[in-house]
This record gives sequence, structure tokens and C-alpha cells, in this order.
Amino acid sequence: MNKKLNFLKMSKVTVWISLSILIMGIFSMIENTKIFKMEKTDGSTSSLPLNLGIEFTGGSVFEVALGEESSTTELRELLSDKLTKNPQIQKSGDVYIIRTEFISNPDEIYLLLESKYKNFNKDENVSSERIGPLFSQELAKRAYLATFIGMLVILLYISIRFSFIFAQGALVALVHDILFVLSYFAIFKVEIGLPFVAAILTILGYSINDTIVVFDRIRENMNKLKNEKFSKICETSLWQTLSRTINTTTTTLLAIMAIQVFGGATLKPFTTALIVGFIAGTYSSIFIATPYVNSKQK
Amino acid sequence: MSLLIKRWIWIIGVISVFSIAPVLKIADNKNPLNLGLDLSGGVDILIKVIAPPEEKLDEIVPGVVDVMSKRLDPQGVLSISVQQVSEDRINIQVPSSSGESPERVRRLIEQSAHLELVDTSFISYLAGSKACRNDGQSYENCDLVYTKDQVVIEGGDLKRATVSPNPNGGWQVDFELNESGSNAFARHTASHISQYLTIVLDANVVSSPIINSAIFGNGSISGSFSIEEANELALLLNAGRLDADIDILKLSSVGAALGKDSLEKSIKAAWIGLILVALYMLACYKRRGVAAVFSLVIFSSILFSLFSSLNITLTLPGIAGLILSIGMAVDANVIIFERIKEEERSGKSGLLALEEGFSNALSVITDANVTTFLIGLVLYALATGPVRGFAVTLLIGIMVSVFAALVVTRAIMETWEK
Repeated sequence: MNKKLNFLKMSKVTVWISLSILIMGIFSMIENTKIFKMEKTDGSTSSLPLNLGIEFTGGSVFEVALGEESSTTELRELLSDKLTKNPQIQKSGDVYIIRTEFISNPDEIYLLLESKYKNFNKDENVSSERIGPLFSQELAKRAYLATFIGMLVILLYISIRFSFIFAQGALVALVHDILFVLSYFAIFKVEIGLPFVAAILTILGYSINDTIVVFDRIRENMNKLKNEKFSKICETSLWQTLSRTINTTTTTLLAIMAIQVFGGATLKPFTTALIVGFIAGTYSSIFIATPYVNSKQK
Repeated sequence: MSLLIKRWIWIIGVISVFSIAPVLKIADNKNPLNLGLDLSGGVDILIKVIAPPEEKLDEIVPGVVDVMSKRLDPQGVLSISVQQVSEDRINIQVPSSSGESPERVRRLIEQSAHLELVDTSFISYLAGSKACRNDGQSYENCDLVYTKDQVVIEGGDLKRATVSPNPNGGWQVDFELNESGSNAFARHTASHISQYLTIVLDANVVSSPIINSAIFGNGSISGSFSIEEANELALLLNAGRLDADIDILKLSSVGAALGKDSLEKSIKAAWIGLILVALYMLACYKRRGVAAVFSLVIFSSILFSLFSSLNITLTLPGIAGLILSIGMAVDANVIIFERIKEEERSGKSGLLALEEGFSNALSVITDANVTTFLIGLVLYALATGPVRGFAVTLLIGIMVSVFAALVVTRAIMETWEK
């Protein structure tokens, strides 16, 4: 097989690109702690490495009646300009329930609403209150624990079906993908809402799937091409699975891109995370997981 | 019988079994799929927990959360979320797809479900009389005032409550007592024959039956209940009583959190995405692409029917799980087709290439799906809330996707080759 491209050789360059993106991500997270703060209910503030949405930080909730000629979309636009975080708006008859970041002086919001809606009267049917995070510490703790144990299970299963080195490779790729997505969100300061959690989980599954497809081929070729060098086996396997990799990535990206382009605004951060994660997942199975295994396998 | 015919029987069997529930639901004019509060809107409730004096709030609130979940969603399938949002506040979200009306939700939340069977010796009380327990506080306007010593059985002694028809018309709630309750009940009834045992629920007399003979282990509460009332009482008793007073701060019907307009657009977008995927598969794999598209249509219909049959509530994280399993279903097809192509390149053709392609793809499809399935299992077992919703759809999605790739796609392609 005489191919011009050699993935394993290329990976020696790409690993630096990966690393520099991840380092940029970490720097952005450190920088972000200066911008993003979370005011706790006891009055103290804590710094956040990412632009966490109100589902994570808690905030204020307003209930206001705005009259007939109002719409959620319009209200969202009005508030988004003023607020740093995306508000959540739910409609109930002509009453709107607006969840925002913590606002110590509700009058700021009322003035804004008064300027736009003639029917709005802040002395009538208005309430404002402070709320805790929807994704509470307790929930977060359990999610972390589940993810951690999930990774251990993956490590165990791949160790049994392949070998411990392969399991390490898969895990390194997985951590790379998640850090990659987090870096993207840190660098571009994209707000992270509850759907982001779902997106990260999806990426986790996708990344593992991609890596296993390549590993399976290496395993098969280790039996078929016993006399070849391991690096040759890896290279061959990557080439053999390449058309599958391209086709699967294209189909998944097509579907997600369609939602990104034509879908509603509230889903954008979710699909953005998926797109970044899927690209990272495909990339890492070729340029991270396989080279890692190659470097360790003797 | 050939293997191929067996495969088709399996496919038709699976589709018909799982489509019973959605067909019944559609015939019943119900929505075949349950959508969560984030997708469909519903009732949003904020309650404040008021701990009894000398009790600590942080010890009481988790119990209240638990009782509320059991009351509103005893089977745990409606995706009703009950969350502590601050020290003394609990947020309850009931999606409109659960079919609960705001009135019923309010009733279920408000009642403390404090049941007591009180020894009132020779006096019987009318249903609806006000009953007060003498605990040192004032008790004005009470028809019945009783002391702690008169209480024979409390709600906590109950093991289980069920509903049955009352021989005298209407419905009654039967209860089974735990061991200590059962002993106390037998002892009391044996020694108080021809006296009255008054049933008090939340400070109201439900009925005042006379003791005819010693009763062991179980009894029943027979007021003039309709079936709905009896069911509700049994539900409340089974969920356990509230150890705190609660105050409903807010109870309102809300629209979808993700915005209805935004959601409708996204559903359209998802269709466009799926059509693009189908077109790509057709362009890439020609005739085999048709098999893949067919297989994916069958995959989706089985998945849809399963969600409907199992009463699973779809939320956004659930849809993310769905996207992953659809992705894996497409991927399995791609892997199989690429394998068959390889076999054809090495000179095999027709059924033989098909056979070899499938068997070579088997190990990778197994490993990839088992790993993802294991992640799903861990998430399902350990996580709560949105993460769990993701796990549920992922687990079901993966099972169906493996079936679709290994059985459905294969059956379609073999039928063509023959």
C-alpha cells in the first residue's frame, strides 16, 4: 500500500495543534473566572471558568403581564440586549415567567419592560423572586460520579475485549474530546445551559463508538497480518476504515447541521456543542487514540 | 423454515407487538408520545416547606420531595420533576402530557394525608365532622377532641392501601397493616367490640364504623367515595404522610421552556436533517442505500412505538439520547456496507459477499454498542433528572438499533439478492 498520507506521521504534528487548543482553552477558563461570577444565596460570590447559564447558577424569576401584543421571541430579544445571560421565558396566558441571572434591583427590568409595553404596569400582577439553580449541586455531584464510573466501566470492557493499552487509548481520546468541547465553549464564551449536559453525554458515546470501530480493525489485522510491524497495522487499519469514518461523520454532521441552520434559536448551543464534539470525536479516533496505542504497543 | 423467513417473522412480530399501545392511544384520541415540561409545557409549582417546631428543615425537606414524587408519579414514568431549589423551596414540574389537571395536582400536593384511627368508645361521628387532636393547642369548633392515647393506628402503620368496591355501593380503600400496627389493631378490636373506631384524615372524620369482631392485619375505610376519590386516597396513603406543612407559593400553567416557536422550527429542521441523511445514503450506496433507508424507517417506527408503549416522557436530553442511537444505527449500516464492498473487491459476490460482510461487521457492531449500552446503564443507575432521561432513550435506542442493523437490514438485502 503506497499512500501519500501517513496518519501516524501526521499525528506527530496534529498532537501539537490539539495541545495548543486545549492550552488556549485552559487559559480562557482562567481568564473567564474574572468575568463570570456566581452570586450565592448567602451573599458570597464564586468565580466560574465557563459561562454557565442560570440553570447552573440560579438567578431571579419575574412574573409579569404584558398584554395581548407581546411574543416570547420579541421579549427574549428585548431582554437579551440588556442581560449577560440568556433569559428563559415561558408563557402562561398573557403572563410571562422570565428567569434571568440574579438581578438585585428588579426595577431595571421593570423600566425596560415599561419602555416597550404600554400595558405593563409594575404595580400590578408583578412578582419577582430569587431562585436556586435547577441543576443543583446534588444533581451535578451524581452526574460527575456517574460519568466517572462510566469511564471505569469502559476501561474495564475495552481491557477485556481488546487490551489495557487500547482501553487507555480510548479514554485518552474521550478526555480529549470533552476537553476540546469545553475549550471551545471557554474560548468563545458561549453560554452553557442544561442541554449542554446532554450534548456532552452524546459526544461521549459518539467518541467511544468511533474509536472502537478503528480499534476493531486493528485487532482483526493483528491476527491477519502477524508479520507486519504494529505501526503498519495501525496505518492499514486507519485506511481501511476511512471511508466508513467519512460517511458516518458526514451523515451525522448533515443531520446536526440541519438543526443548527434551520432549527430554533434555543437549541443552537446544544447543536454547536454536538458539531464541535463530533468533529473532535472523529479526529481523535484517528489522530489521538490510534497513535497513542501505537506508541505504547511493543 | 429458512433463516430469512424467520427474520421477517421476527420483524413483523416486533412491529405488531409494539404498535398496539400507540394505535390504542391514537384511537383513544390521546397523544401517543409523552413530551416533558421542557418540550410541551405543563404545570409549574413552587412550594415552601414549613418544618414543625423543633424539627430541622434540612432533615424534613428530602422526605417531602420523596412523598411528592410518590404522590404525583407512583410508577416513576411520567417524568414529573420534584426538585429542592433552595433551603425550604421545592419546585415541581408536571408536564401537560402526564394528563394531570392543575386542580388534581394541587389536591395531591396540599393534603398532608395524616390518617388516624381513633378510639371513640360509644360515640359515633358523622362524616365531615371536625376532629382535633389534643396537643396542648387551642381546639375551637371541634366536634371530636381526642388525645394521643386514643389513637389506635396511624398512617405510618400502613403497609399498603388498595381500592375495592364497597358492598353497600361506592368504593372503599382497603389497607394492610405492618406487624406492629397489625398487633395493636387486633388487640384493640378484640377488646372493644360494639364500640366505635373513628377514621380521621387530615382533621376530618371520614367515617365512624362499629367494631363487630376482632380484626387481624387489614381493614378498610369506607366513606361514600367515588372511584376517583378512593384511588386518590389510596395513592396518598401509599405515598406516606407529609411531616411538614407546606405552602403553595405558585402554581401556574406554563408553555414549553424551549419556546414553542423554536421547537416547531427545530422539528422541521430535524426532518430536513433526516432527509439529507437518507439522500446521502442513497447517493453513496445506491440500491443498498434503499435498504438502509427502509431499515431506518423500521428502526424509527419500532422506537416510536416502544416509547409510546413504555410511557416514556421525552425531554430534550432524551432527544439527545435518541440522536446518538440514530447515529449509531446509521453507522452500523455504513459499517456493514463498507464490509460488503471490501468482500466484493476481493472477488466474492452476491449472497456470499453479503454473508461475509455481515459476519465481519458483527464484532465491531457488538463492541461499539455494548460499550455505549454500558455507559447508558451506569448513567441510568446513578444519575438523576435530565441525565437519566438521556440514559433511558439511549438504552432503548441502542437495543433497537442493533436489531435494525443485524436483522432488518439483513432481511431486506437477502430478500433482494434471492
